[in-house]
Amino acid sequence: MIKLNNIERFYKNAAQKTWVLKDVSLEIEPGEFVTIMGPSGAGKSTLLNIIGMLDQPDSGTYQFFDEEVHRLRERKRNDLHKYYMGFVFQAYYLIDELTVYENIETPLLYRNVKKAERQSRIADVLDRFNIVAKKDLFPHQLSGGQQQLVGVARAIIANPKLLLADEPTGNLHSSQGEIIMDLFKELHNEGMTIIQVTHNEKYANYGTRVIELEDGFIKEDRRINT
Amino acid sequence: MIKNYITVAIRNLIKNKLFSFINLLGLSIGTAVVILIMLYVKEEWTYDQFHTKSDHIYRAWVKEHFKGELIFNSVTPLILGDELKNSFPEIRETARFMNANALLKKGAFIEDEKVNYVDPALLKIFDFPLLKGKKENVFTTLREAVLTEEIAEKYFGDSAPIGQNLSMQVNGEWVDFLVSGIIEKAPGNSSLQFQILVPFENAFDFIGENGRNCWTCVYGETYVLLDTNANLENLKTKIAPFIDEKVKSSYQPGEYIVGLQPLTDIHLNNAIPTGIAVVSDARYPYILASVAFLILLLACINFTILSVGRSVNRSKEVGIRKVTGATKWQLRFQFWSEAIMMALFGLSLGLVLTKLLLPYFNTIADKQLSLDFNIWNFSFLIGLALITGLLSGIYPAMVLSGFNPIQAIKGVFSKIGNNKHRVLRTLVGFQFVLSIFLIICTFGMQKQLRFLQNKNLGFSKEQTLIVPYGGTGKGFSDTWQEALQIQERLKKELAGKGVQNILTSSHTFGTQGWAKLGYTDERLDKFRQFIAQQIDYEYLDIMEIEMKAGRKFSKGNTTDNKAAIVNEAFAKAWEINDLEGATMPEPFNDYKIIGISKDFNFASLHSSVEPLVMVTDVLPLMRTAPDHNFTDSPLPKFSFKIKSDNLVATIGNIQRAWKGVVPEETFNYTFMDDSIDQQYRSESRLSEILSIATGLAIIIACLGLFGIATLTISQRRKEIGVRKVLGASSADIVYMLNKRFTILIFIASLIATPFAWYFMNQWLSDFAYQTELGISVFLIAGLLTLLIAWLSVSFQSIKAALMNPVESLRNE
Repeated sequence: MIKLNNIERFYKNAAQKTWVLKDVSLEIEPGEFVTIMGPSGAGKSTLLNIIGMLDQPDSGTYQFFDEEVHRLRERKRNDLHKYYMGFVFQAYYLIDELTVYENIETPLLYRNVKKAERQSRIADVLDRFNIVAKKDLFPHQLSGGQQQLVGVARAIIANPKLLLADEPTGNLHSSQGEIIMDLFKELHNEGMTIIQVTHNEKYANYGTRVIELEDGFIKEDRRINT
Repeated sequence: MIKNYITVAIRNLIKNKLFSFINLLGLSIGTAVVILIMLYVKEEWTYDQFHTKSDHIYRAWVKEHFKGELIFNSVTPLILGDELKNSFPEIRETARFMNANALLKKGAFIEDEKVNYVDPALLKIFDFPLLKGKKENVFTTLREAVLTEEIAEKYFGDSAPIGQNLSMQVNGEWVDFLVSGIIEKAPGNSSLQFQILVPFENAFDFIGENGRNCWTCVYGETYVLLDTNANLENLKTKIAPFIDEKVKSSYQPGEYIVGLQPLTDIHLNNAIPTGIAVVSDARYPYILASVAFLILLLACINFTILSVGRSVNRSKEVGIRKVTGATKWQLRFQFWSEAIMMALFGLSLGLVLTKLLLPYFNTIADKQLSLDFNIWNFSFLIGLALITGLLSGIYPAMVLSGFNPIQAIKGVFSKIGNNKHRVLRTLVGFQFVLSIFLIICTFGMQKQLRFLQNKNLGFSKEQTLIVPYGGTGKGFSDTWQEALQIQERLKKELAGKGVQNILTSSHTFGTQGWAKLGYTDERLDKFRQFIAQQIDYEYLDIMEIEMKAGRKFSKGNTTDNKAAIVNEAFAKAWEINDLEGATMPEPFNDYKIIGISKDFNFASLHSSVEPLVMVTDVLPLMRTAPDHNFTDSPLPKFSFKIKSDNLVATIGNIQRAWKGVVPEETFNYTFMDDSIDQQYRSESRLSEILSIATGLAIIIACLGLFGIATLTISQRRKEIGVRKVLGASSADIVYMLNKRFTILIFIASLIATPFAWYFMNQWLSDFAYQTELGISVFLIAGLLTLLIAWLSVSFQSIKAALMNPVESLRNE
């Protein structure tokens, strides 16, 4: 599904290059649940953003299914991003001015989903995440865990093939974190490919594979037997 | 999707009340100004277009080259219309239109009214609908009249006017006119204005046989209706030889030209002399429209500035939307629709404002504008909102939508970066350039108008009441004799009643009308003209007109009825250096020149002083002169010089005395200084509208400045806190925060000054007498702007400076 080859990402200062990612090659199959770990500044988020097509590598190739992503025009890349991916952030990043319902609805609007269909899909996901009662509240009226539930709901509402999560539990208490992780597990069991970045060893074990990054290199790539 | 955008937009509006308020206020003021000016400009630009045949109606003009002098008129010989119509088949109709004042009487009620002498074809050419009566038979006999409703009501009250008689004074006799029709009052944007129409032949009561068939005497305007398929150029080439033939006894071919001016061109064309129709300055609609759009632009800039300032808060939303799948164009669409929505809100509020301000605006602009909801206005308003929205939304739409989603979402733009600072500073600076430009122009115009009002005109204009004397229609000479007797009787009646003196003259200062006499100077073979004015013996003394040489008229001197006093301009043009044996030029040389007065501005200050001859009896001069050009009747006018603190009582005294002496004449007075001010009405109107516009522009610019100060200061809270902890005093902080704006305004002044200077010089060039603009106008404009800007910024900067640093550092 994902094939990265010699991906590099760096920032150029006046005199020197600072490497964020160096020579990263990686292959991820559909149905995997990958956890990217590593110390701060190791390049975890950058790697996730590159996979999510929100950032471009400075060199190297990226193949997503049959598409040579690094050769694509911006528009096409945006389309891939739009139809195949869902994103979850550490700080939830809900639109403050929109209610829970409207936040979840946004991706469907950008995908021109008809109103009746939107309603039924949102109803399903609200029901599944047990947040039906919250649907007319604004983000600031929710707890962190509830906000992240909405964040996950928004990420999967458009049925993406790949769910990308950047420290989804980073701002949450452990009990809330577990709820999110259980949800990920469930989504994975239903066939969703998931790539998450986390610091939490315990949450890494929810997945099937751990990639350890250090100073922009892949230090370790191991599978977890479940 | 749209619903989602609108939801976010409205919730944003409510959340940021201050900024929404600033935006809405600015946009609604800007929109209201544009709507008001649009109504004004539209009326000016569509003058006379309401006639269905307006594209085929023309007004004739005549241009005579006569012995080196060019005489150009839009009033024409009386025979012109018929001659043209009978000779050229493509001319369907012609009609004459002339103005004159006449006394009207119904029962015991007598008043002086404007009467128009017209040919019946006028009603066929133009679309002035008759409310009562039929176009074909309103003018079947000579003594018939068509009135507007207003006049009908004035003379007949509630009773039906049709079939009743109204008396008009004709050569001193009361003649009955049968009211045969009621006509709708001409709309405000009609060049032709009238209240009483009578058949043109009634004018022959005072225009003699010679005048009727003469090619060099001009009276009324002639309107011409062409066939719809007539070729104007072709017609012109046919008219030229035709006219040459008609006037060949006095003119070489090509010396006497008749032209046709399109009806719709009359109102704004200054190149052709003013006839009866009022002509406006074609530049003023453009100036006003530009000012209105500049004000709206200021409001748009406010919107942009605040959007840029707040893009910090919006960038997170932009990032999220991009991550959830929004394309650049979807985001652009969102920001634009938000801006357009704002503009529509501004439009609705602006319409309310317009409704409130319209009566006030009509007073200033001297118009009767109304805001009707027709398709034209509706499309204009919607178009206006769209353009406003698109313009305001450009920056947010183009810039915000281009953010990299991850950076946007994480708020990497959380401080107004240097780059954005430059954009903001440029925009705010631009607002100040415009404001300062407008302030300078307003000050400059006001200074010129004050200059005109205070300029020593060379005579005393204060406390002078002018009352024209129409006489009983006995002819010029007799009327003057009467007037002089009345003057003596009034003097006796009013002795010791607050009136210092009473004067008579053929014309008065402040009226545009003068009698211009022309003759051919045989020696130079040149046509020359001067203005002739009849005054009485005391006139120069009482009006405080100073002499340069010679003496004034004296009553005791019997030869003074053949004496003339000329002004400096005349003396210079006719090279009169020595009064010894000086006479008026041939053929007026039976007049001795006894004195030269200093030049005084008897006409408007738009023009320099023209040659003037003052005599105690102007009639022989007029009889001798072969060419007359009257822009106002030379019938006597009384000037009452008032010397009293109680003006109202004195006017009452004069009125009572008038009633006693000349009961049959209406007492119709004007103040001389008012009439003089009237000459600058269009300029003072422009100045007044511009001052208001400037005030509004400043309000909008300051709102924007206030908003931007609020934003930058809230983003610099931490910095301010740190500085305070490090020992900066509140004054230091205020200084630091205000310094930027001060520099900005200084630069803005530098940029605005040359533009304003250029514009003001253009405007001033219309006046023969100009004020010095002076450096002070520019300095005061800059300082005033600075003061206002400081006031709007300081509220925020002082608040920030007084803030407890612990508070501002805590949220880190």
